[in-house]
Amino acid sequence: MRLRKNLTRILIYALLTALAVIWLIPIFFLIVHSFRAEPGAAIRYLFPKTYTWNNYVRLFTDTELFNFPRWYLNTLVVSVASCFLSTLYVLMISYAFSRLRFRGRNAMMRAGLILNMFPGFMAMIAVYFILKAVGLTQSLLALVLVYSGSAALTYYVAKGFFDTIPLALDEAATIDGASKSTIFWRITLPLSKPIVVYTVLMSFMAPWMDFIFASVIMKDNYENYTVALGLFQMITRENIYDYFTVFCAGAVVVAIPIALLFLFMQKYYVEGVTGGAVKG
Amino acid sequence: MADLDYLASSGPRRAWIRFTRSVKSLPGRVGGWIGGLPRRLGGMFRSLLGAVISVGLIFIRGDWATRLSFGIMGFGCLRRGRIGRGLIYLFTQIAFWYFFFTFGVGWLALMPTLGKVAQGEVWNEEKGIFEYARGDNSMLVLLYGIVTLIIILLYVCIYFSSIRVCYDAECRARRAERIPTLGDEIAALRDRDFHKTLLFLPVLAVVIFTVLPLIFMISLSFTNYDRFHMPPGNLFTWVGWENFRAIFGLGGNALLGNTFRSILSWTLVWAFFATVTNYALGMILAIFINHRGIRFKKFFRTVFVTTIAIPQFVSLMFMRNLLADNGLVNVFLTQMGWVDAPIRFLTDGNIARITVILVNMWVGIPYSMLITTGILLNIPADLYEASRIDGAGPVKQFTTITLPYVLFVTTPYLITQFVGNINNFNVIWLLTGGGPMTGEYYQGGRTDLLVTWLYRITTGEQNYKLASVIGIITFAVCAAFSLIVYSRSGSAKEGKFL
Amino acid sequence: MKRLVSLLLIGAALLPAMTGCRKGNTDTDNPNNTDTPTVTLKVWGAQDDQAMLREMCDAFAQANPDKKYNFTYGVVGEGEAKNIFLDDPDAAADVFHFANDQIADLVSAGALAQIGGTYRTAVEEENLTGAVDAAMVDGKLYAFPATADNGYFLYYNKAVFDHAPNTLAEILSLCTDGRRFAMKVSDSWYLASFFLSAGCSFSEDKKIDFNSENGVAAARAINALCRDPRFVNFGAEYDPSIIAGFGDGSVIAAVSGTWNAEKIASEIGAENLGATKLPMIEIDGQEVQMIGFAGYKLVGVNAGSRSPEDAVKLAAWLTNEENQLKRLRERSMAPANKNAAADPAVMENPALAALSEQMPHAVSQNNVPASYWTAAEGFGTDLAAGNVPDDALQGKLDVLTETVNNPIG
Repeated sequence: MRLRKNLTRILIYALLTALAVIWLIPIFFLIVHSFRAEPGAAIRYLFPKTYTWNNYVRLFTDTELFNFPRWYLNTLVVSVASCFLSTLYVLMISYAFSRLRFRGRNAMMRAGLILNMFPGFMAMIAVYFILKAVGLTQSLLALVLVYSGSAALTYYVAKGFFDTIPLALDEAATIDGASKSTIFWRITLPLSKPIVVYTVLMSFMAPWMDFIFASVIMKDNYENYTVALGLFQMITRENIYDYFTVFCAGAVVVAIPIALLFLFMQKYYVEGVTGGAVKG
Repeated sequence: MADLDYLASSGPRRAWIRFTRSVKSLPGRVGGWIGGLPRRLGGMFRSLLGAVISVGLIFIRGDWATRLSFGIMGFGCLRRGRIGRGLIYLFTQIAFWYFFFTFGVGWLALMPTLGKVAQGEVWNEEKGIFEYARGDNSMLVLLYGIVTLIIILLYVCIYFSSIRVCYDAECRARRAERIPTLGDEIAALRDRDFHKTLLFLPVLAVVIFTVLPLIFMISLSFTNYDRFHMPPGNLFTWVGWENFRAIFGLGGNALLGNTFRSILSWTLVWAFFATVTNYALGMILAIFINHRGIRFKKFFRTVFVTTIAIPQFVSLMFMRNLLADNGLVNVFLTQMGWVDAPIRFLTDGNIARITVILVNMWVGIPYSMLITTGILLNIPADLYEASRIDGAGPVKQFTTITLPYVLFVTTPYLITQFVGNINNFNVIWLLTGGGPMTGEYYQGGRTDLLVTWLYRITTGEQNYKLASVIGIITFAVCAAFSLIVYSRSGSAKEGKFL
Repeated sequence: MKRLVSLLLIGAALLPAMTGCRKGNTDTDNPNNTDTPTVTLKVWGAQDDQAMLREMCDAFAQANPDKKYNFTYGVVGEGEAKNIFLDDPDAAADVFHFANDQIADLVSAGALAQIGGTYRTAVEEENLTGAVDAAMVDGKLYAFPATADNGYFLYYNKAVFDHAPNTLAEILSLCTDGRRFAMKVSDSWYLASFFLSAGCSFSEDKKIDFNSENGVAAARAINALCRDPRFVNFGAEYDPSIIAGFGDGSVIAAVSGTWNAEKIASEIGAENLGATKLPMIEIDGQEVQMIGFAGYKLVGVNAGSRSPEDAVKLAAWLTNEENQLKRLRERSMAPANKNAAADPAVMENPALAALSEQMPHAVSQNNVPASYWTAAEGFGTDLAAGNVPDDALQGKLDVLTETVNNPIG
């Protein structure tokens, strides 16, 4: 019995280690090649012949062709702003659907659910010209509005989370004379740290990932590119040979803040998503 | 929490039965939903008619101030001392008509034809250049026409409600009741009407960034907007159902119909496998990590979570490079002598289809692992205790407790994932670009999903009319699917279909 | 408090809506205000050309002191110009660079201003005939030729070949011990070469005849090549792969364009970089010269430009002899201008020399229908997989021809 237990344990360890290696290999090579000194994108050997810091240096100093620092800053600004706005939207909409009862609530929830299935980039042309009508195209503000606008529909995880907070709390507060607004700000939100963190995380990451919306909105405005859009320019036919290793370095630099954020917030992420996505 | 109690008391078997039953009843529910449509539409129409009639009655019953409110919005309110609200109505009316005459009416007038005047070319002898007179831009006509229609609709709603409010003020005045002041209403926005405060901005954002584009896209599919009718040089116009006929192969081009069917079926196959593999393996991974006696739980979890942190486009572009015919993976395999010729991960139709599913596992399993971890920690330990006393082994425990429990609570997640995978543009586009392309498809490749096909058709050859038809169909497939699953009558009634 | 914030937000969202509409209206009221001394022009060019472009524009402003020019620059490469332009012609550049295969779509969308009068006469006199043809649609001139460098030819490693290879058989005979010849037949741009060589063509009315007997013969030749172990197609990541292949010796000859010259040279040494016209190929038992595409970069003027006169003037300036020479010297781009093309620098650059050697055996891309590219890529990819039997080719070519000639829309 004990032997069998140990055997399963060893097997599981072996399997987990193997999987961990598989999962880390691409990341490992990404990092290794960001230190490669030789140019080129398709090399015929696994490890670089010489290592260098130069790709990282080029990323931040060689700004004439690729203004990476500027794009990095743009993305950061957009992320922070859209993360604030989306979190606000998501919390407001999900709280209303979860705790408040009003006419048309079910219909609205169902409509939201269906609208969320709409493939976003089909909307791009229309969104672009709507933004243009109000004079916002090619600006970072436009990106913020677009990202948070599409986030508003992803309310269901947060709604599920709010559903798990006991109604008795609200009732007690109402008896004490608290308004619904007070309940939302003073009682529910402080109890909802996991879902707030989850929402913040998800909306913070979006601008670092998206490149299609950004390219449609920014078009020729190089100054306002985001990192995703900028890194893409590095691997076009003309540039990939000289810039592939710089691209890798850029990727690593982009990944670092998100990775750190994720590692520290992992606990809340799990709580938020399990509290929200699956219950209710 | 009710679900949890239900599970604990009546045993996980019941949950499993409920799950299978709900799957079996799917077709019935589809039928029910579609069958109920006419009734619901009829109901909507009746309530609309009712609203118009009631407003008509107000005109008959109301006094002169209320009647004047039909012409000057909010007049009744102003007269009864609801100054704040009255002014808001008046301002809305002025703003609307200003908008209508400076912007709306011009676009609206062109809506039936989508523009009449094409761009004109004149030779200017003096300057030695050709000069161009601007024509109508059909695309802008359509878009701004829709914007105008939506604003008119909104205005009509506000108009009707303003009349009701004015009449209400009159009635209250007659009964000598207290008429709410602006202050009262603002206070209500924090309490009784708090939902209005909360929903205003998000709904506005959704209307602008989702509803409006959706209507625009649906309208496009009834036009002939393609590269032969490209603004600003050309006009496009309404063509009815022609594009829908074309895509189902009824327009004389069999290739298009075949391509659509092939891509649709691959999209569904992909969505199924991408969802199931991620889900199942993520669950197994979570179970292994959380297995009693396994140490370094946090370490293993962190390893897998690291992949989430790297932006998808980076990891996918890099994977594409690694998996190229001449990429590092093939270099490694040939150097080790395991293969003679490079494996064509991304350039052979069938292999590429497997590759995208495998890479998608790399991307997606950490997410489902995290979620399952959370659920596993929530399973009441006494369930396992009880089954151990009954003599159940680990395998039995898994099939009778863990699996049904996890499946039951994550069904909504599973559905969301499935729909998300139908629309999973990033993984396919960044990895294979929909390729390898094939002559057997109309402008399509072996790993193309409906969304990537649509994207290529718009950017490559500006075939917006066709792309919008594909978009609508994709949307319809997803919407139908999720509606069916979520319209489980019981949970919908309780107001928690998730 | 929160209500106040949300009210402010709404206000902020509505305010620009009002002002935005107003601005749009007044702008369209007087589109050409050429009398004002200050002229704002937006110029698009590729990202690596930006510095050079600025110098050219500054020189233009100096040469025309009667007006004050205010330039804004957008980074839009020649390849993407059409898509970004047509997304929103109103926000597009007044003067922009684009590849000549986009001209038909741009003209049919009404995006390009026609060039006439003295400008047209000058373009016709000063530039190579092929380049002028490439800038014309239905006998009307719509752009100024800037370069004649967008074509492909053969690169080879001089360490392996003692003279420039003339036939495909010759190249393949040297492909021993894992050394290979590379060409991306799964790319419709390169693929067309086989059909053109076999006598097929893109007709004036944008149709292809690839399902003719000649076309089938060409397809058989492609099929034979794809099955040859001495040939490699490199499906994904073609350009990096051939560079790396030259570097480690696994590729000794490859079909590609000027953009790879420096990179290949840095792998094998400039002294070993060989470039020449495409080889002769055996199709249906006959040796024929492989025909390529002659591509040009053009400078066009937005038909909706608010300062058309200055825009045309600038476009002409950007493509005059002096600036074409500047492109040649600074960016190694082959000129379309006759005098500039005769500059010795062209022949000294192996890639440009090979390009001009290929010129007599190259056709313009103007007649290539837009529906060709993706459809042919599919056909080429199928063949590159190497498992299409010869007797299935006729059927596949029928489908290809039908798709290209009768696209939906």
